[in-house]
Amino acid sequence: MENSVKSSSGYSLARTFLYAFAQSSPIIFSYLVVGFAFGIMMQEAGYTPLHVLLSGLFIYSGSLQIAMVPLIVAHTPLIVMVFAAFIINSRYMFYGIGYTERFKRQGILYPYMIFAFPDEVYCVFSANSYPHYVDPVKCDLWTAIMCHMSWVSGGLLGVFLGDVISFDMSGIDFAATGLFVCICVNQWREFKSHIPMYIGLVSAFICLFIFGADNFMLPALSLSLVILVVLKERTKRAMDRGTETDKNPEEVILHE
Amino acid sequence: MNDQIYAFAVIGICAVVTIMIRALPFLVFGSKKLPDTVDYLGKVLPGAIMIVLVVYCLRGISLTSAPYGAPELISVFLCAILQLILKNSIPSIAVSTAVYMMLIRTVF
Repeated sequence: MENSVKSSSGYSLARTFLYAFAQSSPIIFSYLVVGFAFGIMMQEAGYTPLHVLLSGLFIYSGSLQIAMVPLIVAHTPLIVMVFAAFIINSRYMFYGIGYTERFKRQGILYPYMIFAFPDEVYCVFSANSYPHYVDPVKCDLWTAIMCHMSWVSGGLLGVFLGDVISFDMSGIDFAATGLFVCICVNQWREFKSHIPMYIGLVSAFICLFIFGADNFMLPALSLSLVILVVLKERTKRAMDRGTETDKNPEEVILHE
Repeated sequence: MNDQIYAFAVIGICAVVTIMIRALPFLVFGSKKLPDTVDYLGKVLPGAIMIVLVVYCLRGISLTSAPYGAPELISVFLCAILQLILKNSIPSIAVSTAVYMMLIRTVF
């Protein structure tokens, strides 16, 4: 982040754009595909391109939008929708942690950065450290905009072309899972300590076992956060030193 | 309520709830100097969250009945291997997604 204090003259606009595009490209691909699936679902349920456009622009959350379609079809009461939306998306409340300073540098677009922050964008932002020639403020913004627009475009393509394309698309949403797996692999390579990953894995399985598939997300993230705070000194030392202390994950839990 | 209008209302509710959840950490930590622990969490939390997200994507599979989540697990494994070798997410995602779509149609 030292880049931010440098004067903007040291940056190349063209290379910043190319860098933003390159780091967004797996997301753009997966958003076009999953957005397309959402567009088809809405079209088949009898809703208009305007519904799809507004969802993509203002909800911008794949998991909620796809879960929302059968709930709309079933005419779920609006008050129930408030709770459903909260439960499905509660994980987002963890994403902003550590991003206030970075997003504030966007000035007037600070609120946009807070809004345009779904799982996949969180992935790239958490993984990168920009090269010296890249303007980090512009790169963040362009990445956010490109991803958002590809999500909206995917939905619109789906709702307009859903009729034309007749082959069975089921399973295409695996693209989102694939993206998360790729980011996990990248982080595994880049993180100096793997303690945070072990904590995430163990928390996920414990909460999956206790709370079940539909409700484990919020407890799992909370548990990860608590363990990370409890093991702060230890993890921090490992992250700084870069020497992996291969602690058994079960042991970590016992200590907690 | 008219079906189309009702759908707009649901979209509006989902949008408002989602933006409120996204804004929450910024409202809590935005105005003051970051406490040391929050700064630390910003660095390590992504490592934990990403694994939880993968588990979240796979939460629907059943390990007790056929096909025991095999198409998902094979595709995830393939994707991880490809990413380790190629270090480029687009072919890793494209190939594993194609394999997944093939597996659920033919083998399982």
